[in-house]
Amino acid sequence: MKEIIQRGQQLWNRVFFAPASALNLAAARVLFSVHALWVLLSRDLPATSSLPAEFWNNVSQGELLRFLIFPGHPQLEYGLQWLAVVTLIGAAAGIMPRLCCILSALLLYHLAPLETIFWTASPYQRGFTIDVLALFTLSLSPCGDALRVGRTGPMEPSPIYCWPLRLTQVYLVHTYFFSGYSKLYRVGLSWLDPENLRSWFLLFSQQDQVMRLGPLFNTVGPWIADHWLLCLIAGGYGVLVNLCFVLVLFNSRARWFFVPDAFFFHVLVFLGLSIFWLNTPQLLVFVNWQWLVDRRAATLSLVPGRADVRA
Amino acid sequence: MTVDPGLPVLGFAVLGLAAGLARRGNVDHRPAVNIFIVYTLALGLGAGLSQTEIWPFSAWPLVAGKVPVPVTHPRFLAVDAEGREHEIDYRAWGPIEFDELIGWEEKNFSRLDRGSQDRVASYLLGIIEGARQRWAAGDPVRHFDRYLGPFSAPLFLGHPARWIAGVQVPEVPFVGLRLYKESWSVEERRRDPARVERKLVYEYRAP
Repeated sequence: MKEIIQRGQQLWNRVFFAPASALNLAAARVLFSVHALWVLLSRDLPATSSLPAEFWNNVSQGELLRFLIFPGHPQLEYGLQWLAVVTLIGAAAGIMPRLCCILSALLLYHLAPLETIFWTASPYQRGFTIDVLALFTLSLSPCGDALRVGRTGPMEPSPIYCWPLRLTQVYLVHTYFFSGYSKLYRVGLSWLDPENLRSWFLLFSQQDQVMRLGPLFNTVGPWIADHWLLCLIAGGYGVLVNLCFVLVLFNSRARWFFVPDAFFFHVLVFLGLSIFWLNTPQLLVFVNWQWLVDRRAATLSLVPGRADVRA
Repeated sequence: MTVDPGLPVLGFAVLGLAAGLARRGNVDHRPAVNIFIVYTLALGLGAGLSQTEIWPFSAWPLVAGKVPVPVTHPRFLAVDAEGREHEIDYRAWGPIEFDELIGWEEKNFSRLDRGSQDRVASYLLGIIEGARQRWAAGDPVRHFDRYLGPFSAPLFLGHPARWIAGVQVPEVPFVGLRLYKESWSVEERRRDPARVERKLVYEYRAP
């Protein structure tokens, strides 16, 4: 029993408190703030505030209070949106990064639900879900020790850079793991039935209101639908890798397989179902930037003429 | 007793701040951090495993269902003064996103009394007619790509761009709105794309 507890502690420390580089944590800060900025500037969230009263009839007071939303004040919402733009730029550039991260997270917690609250209080596929959690978590950490205006990052790895980065990765792992789990929980093993997959591919190719036009779209989906084996693989393999994606938290080698695989999966879903997975760029949080920088530096030091400079 | 989803999220924020504020220089307050991590993992797992939304902790139920037989989807069509129907470009609903409008319609529209439905329809008609005029003049209001242009984040679901500014836009004003429910079996429609049943469930005409 004692040994099991000891091993559990070792695993816990290895996952959350291993020495890590400041660069990787700072890169996560840049990644999530730029991602949030990208989505924010591609929507018109404040305008929802001006929807007529009928749209708000079935929104509970609890939901409105939870996100501090008071319908009928679009100008105030625009003001908050531009404040969020400023704080996100600050977070990305490393100007008062921790303050900017927490302000961004709070502002996005308020702004993001505006997109859907008139019919659902959970805007989980709209792009901000992971950003809110990640920016808040990063604000608790020394995420500004690297990639910051006017400061050089510390060279020594430290456990204080590990757990915040790992939690942001956990948030992204949730999307895959629970995406696989929810299919089995809500439907059961019959979700994997090739006929079910065929129906989904057919449905997305038949809804003319929900499809992208172009030569790349609406051919992959029906083609897969017409091949029983491909439907079987799409269902079984898809759920399996979704569930196993959690391994990227424990094993760096697993990242070499599951992260590119996830990217490939999103490309297929984009072509086959017209679904654009807004979290795709966030897969970059699994890249070991410090390793890349070190490798680059090592390569440069081997180039004749460069070694002199470094020496 | 139901717990407001905001409370567990508040707990996440409080424990996180406690862990962040307890740090001294380059040394974490390990117990506070451990509590925060355990709580965060428990909350994430609790939301996901029970398939309960505690946004921003989500259950992520993506395509987690079976396609019903028949499948039913709403379709709004604009109507001109001569009674002709016109498809509406998804961008013309802006600032409302098409998917959110459909989500709201399916959940709430039929629950409204006729007067409320008409007020909503009048509002929506005003939006799409205003958009039609701007698009026809070659000067559309771009709600979703005004800052980043072609580099804007796409919407989660794709939609066909039916209108081309100044080139391919209905020329006559919209004076009414119709809401249909379309039903079909995906297998039958695979064999015959015309196998769709369309039922008019609501119509509005501007006074």
